[in-house]
Amino acid sequence: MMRLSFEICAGVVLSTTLAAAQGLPEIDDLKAPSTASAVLLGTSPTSIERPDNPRAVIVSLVSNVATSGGFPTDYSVGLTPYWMRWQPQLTFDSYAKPTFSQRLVRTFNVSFASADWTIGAGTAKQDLGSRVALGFSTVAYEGAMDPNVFTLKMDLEGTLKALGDALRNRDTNPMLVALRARRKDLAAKITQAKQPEEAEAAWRAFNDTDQTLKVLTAVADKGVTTLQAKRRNLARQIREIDTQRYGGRLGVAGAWAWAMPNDVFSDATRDRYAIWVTPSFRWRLSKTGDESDEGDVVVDEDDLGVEQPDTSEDPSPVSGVDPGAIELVGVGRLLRESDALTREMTGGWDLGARMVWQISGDLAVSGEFVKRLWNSDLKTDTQRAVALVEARLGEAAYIFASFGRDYEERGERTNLVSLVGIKIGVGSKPLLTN
Amino acid sequence: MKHVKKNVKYAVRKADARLDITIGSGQIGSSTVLKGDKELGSGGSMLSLNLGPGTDLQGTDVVVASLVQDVLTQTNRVSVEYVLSGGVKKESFVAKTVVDKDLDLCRFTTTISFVEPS
Repeated sequence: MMRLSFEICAGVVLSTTLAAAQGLPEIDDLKAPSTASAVLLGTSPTSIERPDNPRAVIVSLVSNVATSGGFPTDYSVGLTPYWMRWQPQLTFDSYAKPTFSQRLVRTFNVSFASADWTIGAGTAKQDLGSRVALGFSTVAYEGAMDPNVFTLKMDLEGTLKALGDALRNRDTNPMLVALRARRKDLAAKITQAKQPEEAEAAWRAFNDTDQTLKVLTAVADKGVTTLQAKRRNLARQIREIDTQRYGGRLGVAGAWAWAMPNDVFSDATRDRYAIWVTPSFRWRLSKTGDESDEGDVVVDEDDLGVEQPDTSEDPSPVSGVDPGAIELVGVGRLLRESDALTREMTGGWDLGARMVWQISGDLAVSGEFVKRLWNSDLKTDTQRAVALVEARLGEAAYIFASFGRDYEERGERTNLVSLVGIKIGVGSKPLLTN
Repeated sequence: MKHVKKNVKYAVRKADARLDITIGSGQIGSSTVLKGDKELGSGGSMLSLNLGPGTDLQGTDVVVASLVQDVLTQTNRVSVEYVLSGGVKKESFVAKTVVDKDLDLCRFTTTISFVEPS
């Protein structure tokens, strides 16, 4: 979701040196990405195409080739082959509890990206050709769903059975069928009537039948509407559980990029590559919430007592983690790229970890540590350690305070980070996690 | 709500015919099997049913009414697989579609006509 936000720095800024300004990553940049090739080239994620069937892939390629008048540049595409095919034998139970190999196959994603290769800026900007990258990502291990999902699944199946019966009854109810037939006959009589009295009698009978039919249909629809609202709520709860899994998770990604001077494919040379490893673990410490509400289900009803679909959106916890849960995320990235002048491969390892504790729905604390190990005599290893406290002020406003030490370059003194601010935004993206 | 309708024919001899129904694409659903007004059975995302001797089924129709709920974020595809066995040969059919948006519901009605072997 696009997020529009602005920050009002209300506190004292002792010293801030943003990692981005130094070209050094924050921990979110180090997570195994789903479209690794685009990340390696620095392509904007909003421009990544994600076709969900083979025909869409061809259409995407052809239209981009046509638009570019040749080899497409600034083009990114991510494909998850498993979900591009029909899977008529994939049951929800198998989806919820996959084997190791099934998980690898179902989450395997390949991506391709291309971008302009330029140096300099403004009038000194020079076009050297293009860069292309190929990447993959997969989830080797993923935490389990909350076992309650299977209770919800049975409830949903029962609701769908009742809904199916209600729909069939509405379609085949003898009284409704007879009334529909009578209304049709009376409509024909009105048009065929030769005497005004005859037409008037038919018209009155038609109105009476129509009113009765509307009342009986409304009664039948009330049951259908209530069941529709219930199945929507159950489906939403199941989806929420699916996206909030507990236990360990291991995401892996890799990407390789080639530079093509003057867009000549045969002159392409390997330019850079990266490997990402993201292990994480999520615990549920406690179930938070108002205990007095436990077991109560509050639904909206219209004037006729018909349950209305729940369209309200619970504000997301500030961290993106369930209230009462702790998430520990480790990241490792090996990045090597060729030097612009010598064409020698240089780079280093980024290693880090972050812990997020969503104390309640409105309050979260986190701490992160990232170490960059340069594989170069010219640069010294550096590190960043920052703690962050975030609290919700309203549906889309947060107050945050961060402090710690940012990256430092050779010869520079320690960079302290101390920042207090208010973030006001539209959307659900939290500050602590992506 | 989308409604997918399908008609299939299945040749049976004397032996009992069996119907296995699977709600696929990782989604959740429910199926009811009807012969005329009589409900032969119903179940959740997987249903196995003995439909009875082939001689009793010849010349009749069995209707499978399913509702499939989209619950996955990965796909909006919904499908129902029907596997018929006990007849001349084992056969499987798939009814499928893509729902328009997340959390949509889809209705499937498949009519199985039991015929004599040709």
